[in-house]
Amino acid sequence: MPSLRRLTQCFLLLTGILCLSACGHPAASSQAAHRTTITFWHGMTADHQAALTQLVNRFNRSQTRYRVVPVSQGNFGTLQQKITVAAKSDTLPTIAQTTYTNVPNYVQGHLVVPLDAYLGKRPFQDVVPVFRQSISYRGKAYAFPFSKSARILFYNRDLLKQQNVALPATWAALHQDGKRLKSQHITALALDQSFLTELNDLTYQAGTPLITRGPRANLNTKQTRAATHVLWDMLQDHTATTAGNAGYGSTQFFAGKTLFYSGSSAAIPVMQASAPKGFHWGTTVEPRYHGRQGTSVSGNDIVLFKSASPAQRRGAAAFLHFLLQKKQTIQWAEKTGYLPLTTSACQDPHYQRYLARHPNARAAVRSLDFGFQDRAFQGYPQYFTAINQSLDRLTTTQTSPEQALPQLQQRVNTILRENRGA
Amino acid sequence: MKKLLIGGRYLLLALGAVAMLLPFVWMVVISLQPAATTLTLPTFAWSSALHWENYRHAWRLAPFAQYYGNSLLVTATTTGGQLFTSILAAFAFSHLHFYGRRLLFRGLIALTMIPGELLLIPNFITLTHLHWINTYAALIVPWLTSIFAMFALRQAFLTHPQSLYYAARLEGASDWQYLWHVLVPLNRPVITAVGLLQAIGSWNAFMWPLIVTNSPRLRTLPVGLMTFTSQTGTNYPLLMAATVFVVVPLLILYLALQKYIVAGITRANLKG
Amino acid sequence: MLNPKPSLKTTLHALAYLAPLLIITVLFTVWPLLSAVRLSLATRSNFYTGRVTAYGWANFGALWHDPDFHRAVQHTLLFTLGVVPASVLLALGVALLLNRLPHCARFFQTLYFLPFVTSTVAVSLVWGWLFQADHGVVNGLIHTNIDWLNDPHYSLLALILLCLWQSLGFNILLFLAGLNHIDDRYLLVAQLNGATAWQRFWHVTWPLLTPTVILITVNALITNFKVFDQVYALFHGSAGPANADLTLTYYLYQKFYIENQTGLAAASGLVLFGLVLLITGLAGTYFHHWTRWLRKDAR
Repeated sequence: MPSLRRLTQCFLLLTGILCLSACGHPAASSQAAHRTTITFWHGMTADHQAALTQLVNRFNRSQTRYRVVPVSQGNFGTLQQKITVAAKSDTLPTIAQTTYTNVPNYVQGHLVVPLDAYLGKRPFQDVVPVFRQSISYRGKAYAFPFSKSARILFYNRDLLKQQNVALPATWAALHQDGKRLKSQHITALALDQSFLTELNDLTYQAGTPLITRGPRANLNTKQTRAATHVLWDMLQDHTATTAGNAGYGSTQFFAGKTLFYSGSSAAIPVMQASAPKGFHWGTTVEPRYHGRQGTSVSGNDIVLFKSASPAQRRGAAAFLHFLLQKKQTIQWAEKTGYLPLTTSACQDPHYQRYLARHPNARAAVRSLDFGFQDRAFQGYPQYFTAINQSLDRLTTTQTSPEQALPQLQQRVNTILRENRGA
Repeated sequence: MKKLLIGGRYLLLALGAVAMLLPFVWMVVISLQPAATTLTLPTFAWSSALHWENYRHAWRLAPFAQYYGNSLLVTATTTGGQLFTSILAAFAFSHLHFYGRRLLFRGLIALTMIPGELLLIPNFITLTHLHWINTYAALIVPWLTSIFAMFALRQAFLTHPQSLYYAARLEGASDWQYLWHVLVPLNRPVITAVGLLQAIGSWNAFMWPLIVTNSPRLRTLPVGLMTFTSQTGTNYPLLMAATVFVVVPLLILYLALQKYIVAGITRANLKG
Repeated sequence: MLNPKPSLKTTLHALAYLAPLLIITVLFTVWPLLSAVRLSLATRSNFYTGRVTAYGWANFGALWHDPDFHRAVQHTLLFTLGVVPASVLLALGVALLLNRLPHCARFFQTLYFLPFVTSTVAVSLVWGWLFQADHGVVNGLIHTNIDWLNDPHYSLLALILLCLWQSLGFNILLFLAGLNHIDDRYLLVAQLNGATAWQRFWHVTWPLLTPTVILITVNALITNFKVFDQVYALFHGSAGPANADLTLTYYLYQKFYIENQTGLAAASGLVLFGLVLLITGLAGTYFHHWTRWLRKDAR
């Protein structure tokens, strides 16, 4: 019977393959034998991946002892999932890209080692002060800043001129302009799907951040309610809109009937590629609130896992040190749109010339002077999910801040309590 | 009257076909737009030139030849294995009498109700203990059975009268012979259909291959599709071009197998 | 072995046929299930090492009090109810239309199969575009102005439509295979006896198709109860506006991978498991009685 024969063949082939593949693989290449391999899991794809590969290749050429092997794990979501799974089965790479806000959980899980012992304190001294905020947790450096960006305000140059609107210095001014322009079917502000970053900025500017030392949640204070209202009121009277399922507000911004878009500076290169023909846009810093400036800095960092051998740890430190060098960090910034990591790189004439050629990149660098980063604490991922869900309810249903925030405060209190107990 | 009925049938089918086809056409259209990483889907202009070179570029952006090889290998072996194990088990459940048959069958069906997300981590840990992470074995072995396939084949096997089985047995055929020489040929449409469905599932699997492999050498096509999406934007034309060349082998497979699935079975030569 | 009574010998013989399937199933499904049961009872554990320091029922208690979990159960039930009957009936209808079509049968079959071969990511992108509020094709067709993916009232329906569309090809194929399995001669005899098309369907095709109907319904119930990929892709890794598309599997995913709450995740997975078991069991019993009744009726 032919089908039986075929099936048997299939089965034999299959067993053969299994035996072959289960026997394990010999070392990837002979040259790796005498060089320590540093595996680097990251979430960069496309152009960003190309830029990273270039840096890694340069490092590997400069080295005889170490070899960095970058592995793209797709987007940050799948990267995070890979790290979670690998952590549970003790198969972590040497280093990986992740956010510093995961560090407290990783420290509790005994997954990461401090970088201080291998990198020393010195290399960090030149790091831009706001990036330095997130390096340390409980007095030790765990998170090496890597792909960082700032929240900035994009503006439609032509529409601004046509409507005779000045760049808004304050959130109140932005709202006022919005009310005036509504009759002409112009929306003042486009936001991303979640306005968490903007809310973070506002509460920081008001001097009452959402999470303060302790950690303590201030989600239902008078100041937080007032700050939430700044954004919520704009959404209610349609002077601002959120992107919803489109994710990024730039879609609406490019449609031409929106003055401003509050978004991440990391989006600049892609925005350049996606802007419709003849669409002129510029960037500026986020408006003030309570007379103060303050801009969220976000992005990803690199952590070193405990499972790495001493040689791998030293190699990782060498690689991180290399990334901080002026030439590398400037190249990284220019190729990807992320921010340079060190103060000396920001002031470097080469980078200044780049900024002169690319004026849109300037707002983010300027924001560094008054930038800030969230406090990291155990249970941050849960907090992040909870607050985003609350804000999503504010934008997609009839819920008011007065209804949503007390619930949120309660939920976050529970999260903080549970994590303190853990 | 009859002609009218046939005409109505075609009309209905055509209407549904448009709904089925539209997204696919859209995919191809987008794949021919000028390539660029953008935040939103490009709007298409009919007048613009068709960018067939997108397919070439997409192919070169990631090691797709390697991914193709891996996908082919994994899909072929898992589908073959699934069919083999399922045919055997389906035969036992449909033709053999043994203790706990009903309970075991129901228990197996119940197991398919467990969400895969729950099984992912423990399975990963098992594979780590077996030292199978980053090997073909990790991609293949856990998928060598399919309870769904077993269920489907058992349902099909049950439709044959028991008398046929007893007759064959009385004529001296063993269970093994009856299964492979009578039952399997008789059920070729169902077996082919189930095999095709399993192959498609395996071909499009994304999360498992990503989780259990670390090097691009072992990764499969769906993982390769991630190359075109970054945190800040997506190269939609290239993504769609790549999606098209991921889908095409499945279409070819379908077209090749179609005649087996829908070809009516002839029962005349059953006695042979 | 012709003796229908089970004995030790027949059981061993059957085990030989079952062994390959059972070994892999035990290793990769039963074993992880047991470890999930253990985790669901762990009230204090280290997420990364998996070491458990305290056991109890607290995780199930927490689910009982979690409004998000209630929402997830509700959405999952609604979603399944929205997809399964429609999908089975539509697939049956299309399969009957396609079956023994005089011309272009293969062409149409291929078209209906297209959605199923396309990867979920691409499908979701396409549907995201079709569901757009302004200039969206869906709104254009039915002359509405619904913001399908951002309005919590409609986003579950959007998900239902997407899954319905995508699963159709799968079910049609199984129905076609099932229909082909039916001996033409039965229908011929019925026709010769002067049965109308409806009588032929109801008294010949349908009873013979029942195993396929059961298979497809049970499979559709199970698959749709576990819906995750489509949610993840359609809403870009969120659970829809105001959590309107939060399904049980999504809840599990969120608790595990995002919030690292192993115990809660495992517990919710088990509740989902129990729920599908219950509903499929009910459906199975119902089918059982129904087919019996049908047979009586056919007589």
